[in-house]
Amino acid sequence: MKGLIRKDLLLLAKALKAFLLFAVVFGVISLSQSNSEEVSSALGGYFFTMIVLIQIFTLSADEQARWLRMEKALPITPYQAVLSKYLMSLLGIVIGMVLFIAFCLRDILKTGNFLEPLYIAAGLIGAALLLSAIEFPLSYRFGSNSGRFLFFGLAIVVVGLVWAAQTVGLPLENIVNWLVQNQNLLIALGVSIPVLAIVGSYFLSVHIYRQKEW
Amino acid sequence: MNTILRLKGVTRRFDSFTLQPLDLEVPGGAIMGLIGENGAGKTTTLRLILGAIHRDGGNITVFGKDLDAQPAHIREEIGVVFDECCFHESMTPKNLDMVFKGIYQNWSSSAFERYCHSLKLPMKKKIKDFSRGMKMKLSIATALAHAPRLLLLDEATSGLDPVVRDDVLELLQEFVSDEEHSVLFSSHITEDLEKIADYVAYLHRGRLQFVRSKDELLYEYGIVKCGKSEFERMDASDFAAWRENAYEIQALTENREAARRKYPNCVIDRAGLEDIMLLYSKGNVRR
Repeated sequence: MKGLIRKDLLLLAKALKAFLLFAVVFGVISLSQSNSEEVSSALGGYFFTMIVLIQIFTLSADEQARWLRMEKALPITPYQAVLSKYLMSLLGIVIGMVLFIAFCLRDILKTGNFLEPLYIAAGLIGAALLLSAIEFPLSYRFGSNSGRFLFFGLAIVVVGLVWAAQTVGLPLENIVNWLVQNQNLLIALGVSIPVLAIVGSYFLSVHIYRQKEW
Repeated sequence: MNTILRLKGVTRRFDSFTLQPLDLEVPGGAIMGLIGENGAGKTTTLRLILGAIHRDGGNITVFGKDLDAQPAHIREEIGVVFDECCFHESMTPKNLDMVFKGIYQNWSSSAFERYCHSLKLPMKKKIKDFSRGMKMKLSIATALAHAPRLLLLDEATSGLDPVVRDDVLELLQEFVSDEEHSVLFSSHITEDLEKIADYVAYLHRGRLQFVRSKDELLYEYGIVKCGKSEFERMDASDFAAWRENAYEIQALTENREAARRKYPNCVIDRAGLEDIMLLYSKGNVRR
């Protein structure tokens, strides 16, 4: 499995360099901004987008090379083949969040408020895990391109449902406020849902991978 | 002689094609050529051996072990070359060395470099800049560098120029120089198999027609050529397959000498693998 991770890192080498370069440029620009909250959100958004693009990139590259044929002939189990992709995704999330925190350091040192960037980072990690949990099985089942479109379709449906709920007067804000007041429950849900989702998603992806034939 | 690969009653049904129960044995130290027209089931057979597709019946043993019991472990000792290069174009052979070192326990970087050197492959050039011949040679170097005992090749020499093909065939002959290694080589290029195969298995429309030693096929089989009226007087059971063209009937006999004695007035030529394949695939086959 080490070899599969090495392969993905080699494939991503160029993209990662560009990602880091943009991150540095973005970070330098952010230093000149006064509104730290906006900067945190923008940086978070940037890293989140990059993480998503990175995981799509390796799957697309594999499809383009018809790597599955080779992979199915290698001495690796479906569990290992799929795990390598999930680990790469986790690695991307960790690197993205470390960079995010690093770029928030100026504000943390200035204001002494380290909780807010940490909360944002935790939220982004949870969201990135949920996103990976949905996107991987879709990509394994339908291919990275179709999987991506289905994913965006799903996202539009979710946004539409939230909008519809607000339109018909469902008390969504009350639920959010109630969760914010019950922080222990919020943390428990915020940790357990993404973790359960990613574990469930992994086993689903392994199942789909097993059925895949070339 | 030890058997490296054994298929027993292996079947697979697709919507438009069925691989009929297939029995096949590849002995140690041998190169077996798998021939047949497009869609005959050659690639399906190789995919089944790799476990890349599910089978509907039968069992496969490799090195005496059941493929289903430890597929990943068994694949450690199988090298595969596909009809096209499946490596990422942005990588170099050096990169592949790093990747496969982390996948195969027996991967040898020095052996890989040696193969690349002998096949004149630059280690630091990107695969996208390789010609088709170079890509195929790279696939073969990769397949050999982890010291496999069984090599599976799927149309690996198609599209290669004669010099590169000859390099590849030499490598295969070196590979089977002891009884511990075998090759199963699917190919359209019967000329290559006539050069290096020890056995030939012929698949036609998903059914195995025969498995014979190549020498037996080339020295014993023959093509009887005669007119239609003459052929009608002959015993059809003497021929495995026959085909009528504008001027004559060509019939395939499994015993050239016996046919020569029985039909002294007919022209009887040696049968090449291509002749045999053509007669079986385009002619009438004895039931």
